[in-house]
Amino acid sequence: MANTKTDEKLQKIAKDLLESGEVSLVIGYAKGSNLQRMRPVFITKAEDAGKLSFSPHAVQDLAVFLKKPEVKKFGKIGIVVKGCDEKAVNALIQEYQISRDNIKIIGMECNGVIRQNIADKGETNVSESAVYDKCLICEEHIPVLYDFLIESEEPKLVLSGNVKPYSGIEKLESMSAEEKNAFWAKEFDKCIKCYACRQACPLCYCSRCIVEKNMPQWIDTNSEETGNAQWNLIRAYHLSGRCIGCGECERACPVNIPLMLINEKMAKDVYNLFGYKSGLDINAKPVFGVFSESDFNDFIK
Amino acid sequence: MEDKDVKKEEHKAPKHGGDNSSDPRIIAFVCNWCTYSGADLAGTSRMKYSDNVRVIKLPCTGRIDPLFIVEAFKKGAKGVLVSGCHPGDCHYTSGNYHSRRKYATFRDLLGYLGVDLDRVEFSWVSASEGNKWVSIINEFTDKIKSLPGKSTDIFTKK
Amino acid sequence: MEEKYFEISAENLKKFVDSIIADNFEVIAPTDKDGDTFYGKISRFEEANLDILLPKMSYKEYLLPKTETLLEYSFSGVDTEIKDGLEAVAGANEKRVIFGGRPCDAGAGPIMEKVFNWDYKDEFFNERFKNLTIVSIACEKPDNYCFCTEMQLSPESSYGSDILLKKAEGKYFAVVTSEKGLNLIEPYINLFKETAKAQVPADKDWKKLFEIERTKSFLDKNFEHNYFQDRFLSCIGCGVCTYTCPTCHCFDIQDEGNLKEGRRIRNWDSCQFGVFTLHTSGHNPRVTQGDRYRQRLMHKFKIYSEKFDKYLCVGCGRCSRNCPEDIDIKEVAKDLADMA
Repeated sequence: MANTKTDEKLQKIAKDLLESGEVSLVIGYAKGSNLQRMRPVFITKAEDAGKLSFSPHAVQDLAVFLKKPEVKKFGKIGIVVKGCDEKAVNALIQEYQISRDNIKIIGMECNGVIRQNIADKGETNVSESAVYDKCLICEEHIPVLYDFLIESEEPKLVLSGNVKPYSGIEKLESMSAEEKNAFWAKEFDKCIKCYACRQACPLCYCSRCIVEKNMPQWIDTNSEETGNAQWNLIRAYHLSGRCIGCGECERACPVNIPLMLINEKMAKDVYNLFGYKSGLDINAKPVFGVFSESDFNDFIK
Repeated sequence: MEDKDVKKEEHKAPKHGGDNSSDPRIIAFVCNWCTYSGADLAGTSRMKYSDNVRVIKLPCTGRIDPLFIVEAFKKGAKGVLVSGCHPGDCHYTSGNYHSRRKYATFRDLLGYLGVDLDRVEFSWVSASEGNKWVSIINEFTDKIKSLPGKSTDIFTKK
Repeated sequence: MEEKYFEISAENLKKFVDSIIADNFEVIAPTDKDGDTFYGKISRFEEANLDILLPKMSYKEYLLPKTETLLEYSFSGVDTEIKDGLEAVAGANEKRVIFGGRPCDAGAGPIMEKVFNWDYKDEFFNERFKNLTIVSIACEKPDNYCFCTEMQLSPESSYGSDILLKKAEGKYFAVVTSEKGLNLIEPYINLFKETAKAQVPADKDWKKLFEIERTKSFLDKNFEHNYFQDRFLSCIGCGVCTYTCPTCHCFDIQDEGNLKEGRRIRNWDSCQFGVFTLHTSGHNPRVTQGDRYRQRLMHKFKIYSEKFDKYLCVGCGRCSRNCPEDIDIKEVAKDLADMA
């Protein structure tokens, strides 16, 4: 259900940016392979700006493309982002992966995006039960940082409180070590090590990932219990305090491992321990780049 | 013929152990400046502590990547200890502060994924604390010995 | 073997599946799990979801496991002992039946068999392939991502299936194409009624959207075409297309072990990974994601068919459905055919 007014505004901004030469590429959404799908589109000519569109089916986090060498080559880039995706842009700026000067942020007010597997079955309405869990806890319906903002014409997301987002975290926290172990062993057993979680993540930008380092081989290459557990542990750890919660890893996972249960748990713990949330302030120092003398010390003898 | 015999002699099977709960292998990653000196002091003072522990010396706790902990477990360690200088005493000014942040989070993650947190321990041991080193190692060894076999190990084959 | 035809009621089909499970067959069928449908072991007929078009993943793992042990070694200090991984594979699929898969998935087996028996006979694959019994169900309603008809199969093709079930008027017709299929139903033959070919409903006239030969002829001439770089700028190289594909079969051989013991394994690998073609020298012939996606297209629609006379694609459309960035391979193949 793309809103034509929203689309027109979006297209105008992109057209102006490209015409004036302020950017040489606009990354946005276009209509996808079915009515309930959107896909990334790369606009380099002002006359193509008409392809741009936005709807509650715009699930992808386009910030992921900012790490691609092929995209970086364009220099100045305009990017269409939802509130959650925009936090990834901020985190990339914080970690010096992109420069604020080289990026024009076209922020979209977003009231939630519809889960893709539900959308594929025909769902077009934004509702508490249809959107991703991240939308239910979203505090950035309007992006925290933007050069242009397009307000939403869609109705606001109504929360009854009956749907508990990420309820698995609390359940897991109350389990014994054995139970947790059994839960994750079952989940990780499904892993096929396609590394889609890594590739879909806007913040996994290492040019050589730890799994690709084989002298020594830190992570076992097998996709059985040992290799899978090591990979998932280290992936989650590398994103602790950095993950902005866009949920792309979980969406991309072809075997439905609930990766966001780990990412959100770590985000929660980092907030509790150090009072830090990722991607909210481009001037903040990344949480593991700094320290405080009064940091949590209770676990150390 | 003679060559072969000599080789046979050299290649005597190394004594393996440490992969059962009555004789567990414990790996201690320690910093060069404080804890290693502390352990050294314990040694030169002829104090006795559990021989289950294998000490690996690194420049600073800041250098002890959480991957090392994973690697130790992968290779069959039953417990891992990370130890360094007390806050404020770091030879490199702030390495231990950085590592403290890292481990606070890493420890949470390990626990969340079902690793028994009794198997990982962190401590600050200074160069003068030979006694503390001895008691930490002995207590840790006793604790590991009391834990059930492989129940919450996610790094090795069940 | 000459094809044989049977009729079986829906009720008897349930009985048949429950009986083979009772007789210790491991039945793998589409089953609901984690909010989607996957192939998995079922313990009774009702657990199978036969309404879904296709499970999210293919059942490739029963022919080519995600990690396979090729050999194990142990070193006692004096002697080295080596154990052939083939021993564990022997008979692995003898009592395993894939039930309720679709003709596209079934078609993948014999296509993959060609590459695994080209110069070197892959005993691991062959052992698994020869024993696996496949009972497929013909599709009544392919979706927009399906293009098996274009890929020389059809929603009702029996290619690669030991038994193909066709639903008609509340009952099923079973087309048995192999001895393996016949052996499976033999003990329960009283549930089936033999019938003549003429009684089995004829295949519908499935329309093609494009000619795959045209796609190939475009690929033959346009290796350097801009289309690949532009179109696949949106590819993030996640490899989901290759891992969920029933015919993608690339693997990577690795050693895992220490001084005492270890093993040689092969794991699934993907041409969509940057390091897939990375040379020791540091040179990488496929630099961009466009290069890598082009490789996938070339392998599927050009190279494989030149060597083995079959396209390396069955048109199941999984890569399109599962692509996080919505790259639709049917649309791409059609684009290429249109440009030829």
